Amino acid sequence: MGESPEALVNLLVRERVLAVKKKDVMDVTPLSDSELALALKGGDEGAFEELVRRHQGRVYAVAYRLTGNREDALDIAQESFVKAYRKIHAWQPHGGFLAWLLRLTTNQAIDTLRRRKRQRHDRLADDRHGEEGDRYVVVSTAVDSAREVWAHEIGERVRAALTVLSKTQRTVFVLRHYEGLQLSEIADEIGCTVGSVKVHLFRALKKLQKQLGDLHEVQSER
Amino acid sequence: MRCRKVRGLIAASVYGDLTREEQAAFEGHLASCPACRNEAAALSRVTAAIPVEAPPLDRDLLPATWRRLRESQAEPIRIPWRLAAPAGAFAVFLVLVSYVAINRSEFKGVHPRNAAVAREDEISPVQCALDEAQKLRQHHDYTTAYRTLKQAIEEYPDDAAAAEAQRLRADIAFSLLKWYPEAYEDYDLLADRYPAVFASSAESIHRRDLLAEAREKDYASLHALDAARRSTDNKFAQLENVIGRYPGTFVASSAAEDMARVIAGEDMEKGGVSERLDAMVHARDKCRNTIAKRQLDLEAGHIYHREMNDPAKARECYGQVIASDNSVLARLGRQSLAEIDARE
Repeated sequence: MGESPEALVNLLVRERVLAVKKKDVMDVTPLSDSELALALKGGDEGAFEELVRRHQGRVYAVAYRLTGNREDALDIAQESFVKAYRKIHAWQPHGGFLAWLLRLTTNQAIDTLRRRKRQRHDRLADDRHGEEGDRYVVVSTAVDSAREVWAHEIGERVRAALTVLSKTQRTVFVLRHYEGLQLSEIADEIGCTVGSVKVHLFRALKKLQKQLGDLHEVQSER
Repeated sequence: MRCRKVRGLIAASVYGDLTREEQAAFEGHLASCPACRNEAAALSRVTAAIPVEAPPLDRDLLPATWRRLRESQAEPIRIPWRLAAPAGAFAVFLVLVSYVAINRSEFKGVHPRNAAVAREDEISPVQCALDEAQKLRQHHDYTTAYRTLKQAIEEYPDDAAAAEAQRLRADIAFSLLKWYPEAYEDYDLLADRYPAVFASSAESIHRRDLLAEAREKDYASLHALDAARRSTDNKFAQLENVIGRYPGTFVASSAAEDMARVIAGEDMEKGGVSERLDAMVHARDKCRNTIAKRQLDLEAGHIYHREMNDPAKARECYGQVIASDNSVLARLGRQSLAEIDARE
C-alpha cells in the first residue's frame, strides 16, 4: 500500500530537516515556513524558535495595530506563538503558515479587546454604586506630542471600525491591508476561493468606508 | 459586465491585485458606469487613509514565550479529533464555569468598588492592587498583574505600599515577562523614588546592575543567557559559549553560577558555600572554553575572598585570571587582587 501524499511530504521534509541539521545543528534558517511548521509538528523545538524569530515582528505589528497598546501587543504576540505551538497539529500544509499564524494573532487581539471592553463595562457599572469615577478604566499608553496624539486618534478610530467587521472580513482585511498577503494565500488560509476573498474584502472596505468615510477629509485638512 | 460582478474587482483593484484580463474588463466597466467609478475612488481613499505602519518590535519574544509554554506544560496534542472532542467539550465547560466563577469572585481588578472597600477597612488602594497582582501572578496572568501595579503606583505614588508594589512590578517584568527594557526602567524608578526599599533588596540591586550593563548591547547577552538556560541539548556547553561571548559581565557571572548548578544539581541549593565552591571548581575543570575557565576562576576567587575569607586561595585563582589572554578578565583579576591587598 502506498503512502498518503501528506505522509510523503512529511517524510521529505523530515529528511530535509535532518540534512540541514547534519551540516549545522543550530542552522534551520534555509527551511521554508511550511517545512519548519511540519518539523514542529514532528516535535522539533528548534523549528519553533526559528519561526518565532522569523515572524515575531509581524505578529507584534498586527497585535499593535489592532490594540494600539504596546503592553497588550507584546502579550498577544507571545500568546499567539504559544497557541501556534499548541495548535500546530491543526495547521494544514496546503495553507501558508504565516497566514495561519496571523489569523491566530487577529483572533487573540479581538478576544483581548472584548475582554477589556467587558472589564470597562463592569467597572463603569460599579461606578454607579460608588464615588470613585473611572480612574481605573484601562487607558492606552500615554501619548505626548501633537503628532502622536493625532496618530493615536486615527488608530483608535480605525480599531473601533474594525470591530464592526465580521471575523472573516476582519481577517481578510488585516492580512491584505496590513500584511500584504496575496489573495490566493488568504483564500488558502480561510478555506475559500479567491473570488470569495475579493467579495469579503469588498464588504470589509464598504463597512470601513461607512465608519471612516470622513477620515481622509480630516487628514487633508490637517 | 454587471455592477454586482464588479464588486470583488473593485476591492482587488484597490490593492492592485487584478490580473491583466480582469483589469481590462474592470476598466471597460468603469468607463461606462459612474456609480462603480465613484465606489472605486471612495474605497481607495478609505484604504489610503488607514495607516499601515506600526512601531518596530524592540525585543526577542522567545524567552517569554518559552516561559509561558513551560508554565502551561504545553505539548503539541496529537490526539485524534474524534477522541478529543468529548474531552475537549468537557474541558471547555470546566473552563467556562471557572471563568465565570473567577470573574465573579477574584478578577474584579482594582476598581473603584474595591478601592472604596479598601478605604473602609483602612487598607491602602495600592495594597489592594498588590493583593490582586499576587492573585493574577498565581494564575500566570503576568501582563494584567503588571498593568494593575503600574496603574496603582501611578495613581498613588506616595501610598505606603507603593514601594513594595514597584519592586514587585520590576520583578514581574524581569523574571516572569522578560520585558528587559521595562524591567530596567522599573528598577531604576525603584532606586530613584523608593531608595530604602531598593537598598534593602540585594536582588533588586543586582538586577539593575545586570540590566544596565546588558542594556548597552540591546539586552543581547541576557537573551543569549535565556536561550542557553532553555537548552535541553548540552546546556553546559551553551553556557560556556555565553561566557565566551560576554566575559567579565554580570551575565557571564550568572552563566558561571548556572554551570556550577548543572554540575551539582539540586544539591547546590541545599548545600553551603563549600558545596558551591566545589561545584564551581568542577565546572571549571570540565570547561573546554579557556575564557569560560578563567571566568570560573574569577568566580571561585570571589567565593574564597568574600565568603570564605581565604585570601591565599583567592590569590591563586585571581593569578590564573590575570594570566588570561582576555583583557577584560585580566583587568578584573588585577582589580580583585588589589581589593585583597587593600584589605590586608
